[in-house]
Amino acid sequence: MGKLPSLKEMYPKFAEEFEKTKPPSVLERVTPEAPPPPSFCLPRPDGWWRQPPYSKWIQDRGREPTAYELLLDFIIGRAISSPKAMELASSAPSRLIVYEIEHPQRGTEFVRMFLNPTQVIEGPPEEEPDLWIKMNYYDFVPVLGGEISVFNAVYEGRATILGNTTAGLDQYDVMTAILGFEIPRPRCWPRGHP
Amino acid sequence: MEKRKVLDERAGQLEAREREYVRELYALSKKYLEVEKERPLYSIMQKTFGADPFALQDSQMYKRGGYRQSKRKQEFARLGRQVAVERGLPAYNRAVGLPIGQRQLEPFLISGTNIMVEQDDTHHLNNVAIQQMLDDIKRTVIVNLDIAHRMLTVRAGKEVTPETINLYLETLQHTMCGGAVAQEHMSEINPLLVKDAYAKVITGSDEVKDALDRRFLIDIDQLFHPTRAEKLKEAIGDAIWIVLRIPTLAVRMADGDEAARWAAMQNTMAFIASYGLSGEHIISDLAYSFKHARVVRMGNKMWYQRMRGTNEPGGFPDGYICDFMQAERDLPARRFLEVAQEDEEEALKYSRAMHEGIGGIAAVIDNVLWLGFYMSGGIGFSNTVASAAYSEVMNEISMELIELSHRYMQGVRKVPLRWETVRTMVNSIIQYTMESYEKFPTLAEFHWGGAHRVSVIGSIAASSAAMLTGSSTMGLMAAHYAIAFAMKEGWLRTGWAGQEIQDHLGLPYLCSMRPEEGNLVELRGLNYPMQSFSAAHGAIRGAAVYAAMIGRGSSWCLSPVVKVAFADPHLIFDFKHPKLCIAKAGIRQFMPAGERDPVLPPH
Repeated sequence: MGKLPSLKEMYPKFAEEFEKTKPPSVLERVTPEAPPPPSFCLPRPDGWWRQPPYSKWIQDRGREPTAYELLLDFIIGRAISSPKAMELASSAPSRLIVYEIEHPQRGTEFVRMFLNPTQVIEGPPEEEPDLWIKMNYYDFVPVLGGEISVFNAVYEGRATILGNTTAGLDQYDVMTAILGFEIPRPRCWPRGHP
Repeated sequence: MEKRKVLDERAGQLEAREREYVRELYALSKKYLEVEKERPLYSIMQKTFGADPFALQDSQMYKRGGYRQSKRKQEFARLGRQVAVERGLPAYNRAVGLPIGQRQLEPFLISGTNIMVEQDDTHHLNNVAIQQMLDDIKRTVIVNLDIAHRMLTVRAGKEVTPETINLYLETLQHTMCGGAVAQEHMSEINPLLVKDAYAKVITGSDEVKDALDRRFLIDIDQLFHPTRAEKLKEAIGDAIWIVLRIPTLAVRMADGDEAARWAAMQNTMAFIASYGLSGEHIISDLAYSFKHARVVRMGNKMWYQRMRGTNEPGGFPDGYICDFMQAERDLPARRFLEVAQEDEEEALKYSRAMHEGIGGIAAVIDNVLWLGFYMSGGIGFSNTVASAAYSEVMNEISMELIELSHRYMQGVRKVPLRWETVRTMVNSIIQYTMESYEKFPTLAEFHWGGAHRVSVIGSIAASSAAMLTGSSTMGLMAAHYAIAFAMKEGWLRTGWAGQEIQDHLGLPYLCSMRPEEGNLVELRGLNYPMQSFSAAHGAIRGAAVYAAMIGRGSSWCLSPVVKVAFADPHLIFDFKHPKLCIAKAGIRQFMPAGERDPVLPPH
């Protein structure tokens, strides 16, 4: 019986091969990853605001609109023409809602919206708002365009809401009415509830 | 800078207007009291108090006759006198207490049943179902038989076949009931005393199942929804586990640790008899394996000051406590978010199942048995915490979670494990619960003058976050946050469960996986550092673990064999309908095991 080769001779790349036999770490195996953002929430090609349906209500300023311009155009171009939205906005309690919009190039832009009386103002708030919404610019665009609900962006982890939830529902009702969808309202906070 | 200046100027103009934005929101909220009358909570409170649930004052105060309004208390007063006369020593005597009981002693409507019980009926000494629940857990031990079978074939040269296993199982029923194998000059036990002792098999293999005597089998296919059964069987695989249940009387007389010893002894004897074993080496190895090798006990030992053996409440891991719960087992194993998006009614079934489990089992084990009885001596004040969990209130509040999920989460594929995301829903549900307490003074009165508001809020927050994400850690984080939030931003004085340190400091610890810091919530327990002294948190952790399981669409929390072991229809306590059992015991309709009548003089 010949001499057995040493382990090193039998398995010259033992350390390397041994590493390959290990399963990935527990954290890698069990940590669920967030689903990728849908295609309409990704940065858009230049000139997207000139394409329908956005061209119907966004004023072409020769550049991509800022968050303030976008919301203002939305209110002027779409909300004013919706009687249902006007009725809802005028029946809701007064609300101050702040949007903190992150643009990949321009950075953070603030836009404030008053509900009842309706007004859109640029810049950060001076008083404590009812609701603070933080989201990406390219999530904000499809929300205004009616492609996704603002709550989808929130519950899929791409947007953050802080503050009074019923103020958010008031705002959501108005937006939903503008976009012409059926308005859901929970039993626990009927319309107009503070 | 220029732009900033313009903005600042505009802001100056706006400032005045924003300051005029005075909120009379509280006054406005009263407008909606009419809407609140449509809530089930209104009718529950009306039924409980027989008065207007919105009333701020109790017009009947001092007119109800103090303790005499309760039939049970009247009975106790009479029986106390009787005992005093019979034994010649004073006993229960209301005259020596402080006479402050002028409020209404409201009865409880136990949720899922139509049974009203008095508060005294939910005391763990008055309620035999609560006692039996604990006994049924304490007397359970689960042992893997594969090691024994391998030992028999390899070491002892015996053949293990379906016939030998069935013979062994039949022998085991005899030995578990205290029957002797070497039938000479042995003390045996009156079978009527131990009629609740038995052993049954669990397996995930259809082939093994078909070969076994059906009487000795806990049949996963029959007891669980097919989608759950499939997952459980896959997890258990071809292994054979035996669930051994020692008599209730034994754990009453000794303690939970007795279960493993009784089971190991009787299991060894059954092997000796059915396989004709002799020779001490194999027998000692068998006995050793039945005590230590792949033996699942229901709880660990505790540290020195709390020293109890295994299978005692302080040592139950939270994951096992939630595996004892069986309320969900008829429902398809689907993610809660999917169900809630599709159908509110169907989602309500999942939510009700969750509250059945945490209200009927986790709240009782933690508040009544561990904190109230084992830790503080057991005079009944902690029963009120569990009573908050028996009622329909939690279901009622969870209906709103379902409605909000159904209406506002359509199209959401998955809720990520990000705190900012979960916080939104948790904030909504805390806000709603706090509003409910403020609108319904009777609800606060019902929850022990409002003392249990915060633990209810924690429990609701835990279950909401865990159901949506499927993560127990996220659920517990939501609970801690909710309690700290309600205390710091809302009410300040919060009663029970509001001042616990872990709610305020526990969030970073929670995410650590080091066992003495955070750990998986499933592996924590009542005996865990930092939470062993916390009032009313057991139902909260139970909610986080059990709701996460339902949220994920899983079939078990920590152990598939523990889940299946407690689906056993031979158990005295029904772990699928714990609240019904407790309610039945409240009206003296529940028959426990372990009674000593066969050996007592006629009485």
